[in-house]
Amino acid sequence: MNWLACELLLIAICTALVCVVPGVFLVLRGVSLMSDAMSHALLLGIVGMFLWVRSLHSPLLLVGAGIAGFAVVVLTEWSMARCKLPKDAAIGLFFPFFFSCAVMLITCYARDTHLDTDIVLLGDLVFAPFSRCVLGGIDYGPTALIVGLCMTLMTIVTFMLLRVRLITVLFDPVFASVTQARPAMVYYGMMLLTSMVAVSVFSLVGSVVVVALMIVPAASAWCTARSVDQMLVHAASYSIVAAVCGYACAAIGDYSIVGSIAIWTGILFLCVVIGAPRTGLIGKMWTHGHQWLAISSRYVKQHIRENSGICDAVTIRVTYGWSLWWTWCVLWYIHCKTK
Amino acid sequence: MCDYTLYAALIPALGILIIGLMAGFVGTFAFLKKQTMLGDTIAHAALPGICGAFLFTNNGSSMVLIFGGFIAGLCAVALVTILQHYTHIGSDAILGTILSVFFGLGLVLLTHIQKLPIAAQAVLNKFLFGSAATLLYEDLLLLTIVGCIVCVTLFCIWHPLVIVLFDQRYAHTIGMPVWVILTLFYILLVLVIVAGLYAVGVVLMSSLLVAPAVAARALTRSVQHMAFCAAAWGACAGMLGMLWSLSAAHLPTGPAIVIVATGGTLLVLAAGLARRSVA
Amino acid sequence: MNNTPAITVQHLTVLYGATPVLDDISVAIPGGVICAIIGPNGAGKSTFMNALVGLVKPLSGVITIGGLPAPQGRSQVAYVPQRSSVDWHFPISVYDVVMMGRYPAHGFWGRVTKKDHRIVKEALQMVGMLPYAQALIGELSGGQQQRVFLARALAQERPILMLDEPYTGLDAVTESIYTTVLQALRTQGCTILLVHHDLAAVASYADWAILLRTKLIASGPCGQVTTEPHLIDAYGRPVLGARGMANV
Repeated sequence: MNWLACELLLIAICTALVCVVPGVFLVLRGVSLMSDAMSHALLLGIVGMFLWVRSLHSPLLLVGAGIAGFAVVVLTEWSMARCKLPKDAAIGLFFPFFFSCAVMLITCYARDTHLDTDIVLLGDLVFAPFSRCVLGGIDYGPTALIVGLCMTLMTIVTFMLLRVRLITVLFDPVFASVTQARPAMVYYGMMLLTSMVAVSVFSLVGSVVVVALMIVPAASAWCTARSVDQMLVHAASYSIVAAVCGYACAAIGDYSIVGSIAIWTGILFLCVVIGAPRTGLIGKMWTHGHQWLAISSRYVKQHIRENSGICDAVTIRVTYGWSLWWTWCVLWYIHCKTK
Repeated sequence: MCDYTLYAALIPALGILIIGLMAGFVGTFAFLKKQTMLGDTIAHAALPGICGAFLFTNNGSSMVLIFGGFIAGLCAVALVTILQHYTHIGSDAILGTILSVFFGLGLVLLTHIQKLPIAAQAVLNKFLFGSAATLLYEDLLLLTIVGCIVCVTLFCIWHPLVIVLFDQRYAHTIGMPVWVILTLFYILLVLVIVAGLYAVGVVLMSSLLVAPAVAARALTRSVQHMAFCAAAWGACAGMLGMLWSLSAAHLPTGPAIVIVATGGTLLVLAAGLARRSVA
Repeated sequence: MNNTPAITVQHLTVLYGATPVLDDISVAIPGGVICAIIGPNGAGKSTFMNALVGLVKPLSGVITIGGLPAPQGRSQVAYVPQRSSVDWHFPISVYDVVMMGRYPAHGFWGRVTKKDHRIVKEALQMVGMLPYAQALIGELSGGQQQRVFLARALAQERPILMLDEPYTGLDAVTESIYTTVLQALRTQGCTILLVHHDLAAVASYADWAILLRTKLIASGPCGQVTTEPHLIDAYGRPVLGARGMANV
């Protein structure tokens, strides 16, 4: 594995880690698809800024993107509050409008530039290591990696500063507003952070895989964690594993790294949903099944006591309204327990 | 010459009309069920189906691609329903998961397509932005058949569907086959979205479901009126958007339709707000 | 009061996950009574009703309604749910909500007849909501919405009526309308089952009571159920003082 591949892997891991804090916030707040909305809307900010400064390399492009992403959140919240739109309709109304305006502006005024709408959806991770951060003649590494590390640090610091208020606001916004935890400030502050993260990440992985990196590890962590702090740690772990496995598979099979990472977040999600010890499907079936059998066998033993020790499967079935299959399971369970 | 231009514009126009009507009808019910973002999820989840159908059959005809997208969309809806039922994860997180993971799978398949000596970029562009302006006669025929199926089925299950959407628990208690009705509805939703991908592409399809329904909700007081109003607005916005994109060279149709639809809806909302603040 | 039980429940057990909410409940409710289901929070009152109408699947239990096994017997039940299960911004008028009660009568794909219109108007008249027939459901107050749901159940014209916490959060007018309507139905021979929190008022509106605390504590005529030993079993302490007023 050569140095370039290492850097690419590090960039992938870093990109995944940046998305952890905003992702956990969005998932717990119940607005996961706002990440999808933001990452599509920010193209309008980029195009708008580009038409103003006429340069593809100006940092103002990213500022414009951040503003557009935040603007879509503000408009969505406004329409939910003033126009009484349901949450899903509010989210789905504005971002296609922003994206369409962006595409129209590109087609009308920026046709010959490198602003390629495919990049918005597909990302450009493979070429990330080639853009270097060179300051004072020293090559500090790929720009994407430096930016990613700074953004990760920023998300962690923001979380530490807002931690108590954030948890109060997420759990009970009404209580938060009554106790002056200022839910609106916390909410919009976190949305601004999410917008900045989306801006820094979407050019690498594309608008849709941003959703995968933010939402899927957080959703998986929701099944396994018992506190918000644990949820962040678990989400970070799933992100790292998905990035590494995704990169490895894509490198072996020679296909889209970004798509592969998204698929691996999904695979981990599926594993957690099925196999998590307390909340996974198998775990629940096991504990619930045991309890159901225990309670059912208690009834059967009581029935046998009341009927002078006679155990007739048909009578038991009719008395308790069980299916044939369940009756035999319970009798087998009692038989195993009394052996 | 004039006849040819008229004919070339007529087919896409009819196609958009049908898609706008279907999207308006089905979008009303998706809006009432508060699952319009499910439309966005299905639209993104159709990508691996389309790519898979393309790879499997080496045939880029619309029938094959729509079928592939349809199967992928159905899988996505089934997974969303199962996850909502068996886990405590919020439905928005489930939608985000299915949307992005399926799309990632689509990206992987797309890179496979790009290695083949076929015009893969055409498939991708068709999917991303739709190809309304280049609809063929066969596509129009397919859209008409899909439109008829959707409308007839919807009119058959109209009243039961309204009961289920308004109060699902009550519908269970009066012995309605709730899951049959919901399954039919989801099938219609997937059909409409996959067919609509052809006109406006993936990012913008959810807009065609949402915007007409939102405008209709602000203007009407019953489900029947809302559905017909949304269908009319969807069809009008489609035609106006198409006219706009034809009026200048190179204007993409999908974004034009979405801008018209959403712009009109925002005007309706603003008018409603102004009326409420005056009253 | 009839002698044949309208509803019999034997060995009903319902679990949420691994926790029993109802444990081996066996009870018979006679026909033509107003039966109140009472008990502390978490006792399984709503779950009991949900199991009767088929909204939850029990672990065990044999339910007969009107002499028929549960799946067939449920066609004799009209159910009024708790307020929270509905979308209040739905664009539907009061008249159309009550008309939903008529669909089971002629099948969901059948046509609405003049008889249906007459029955809907009568149901609205009975609950005093006929002037609001064309109003949207979201424009009404909480009490008025609850009356509309009662009208929907009345329009079904079923011999058994089940109401889940109908009196929660109601204004005095709606409460009195409810009580009048339920007593009128009882006179006509309907069996009415309702879940209620207000222990002190039980004797004033109900003839029969079922006291639950996951297990069945007592069932029978109200006077026999709301005795101090039973209430201490259910609530853990005396809850009704002298003259039947609740102990605060």
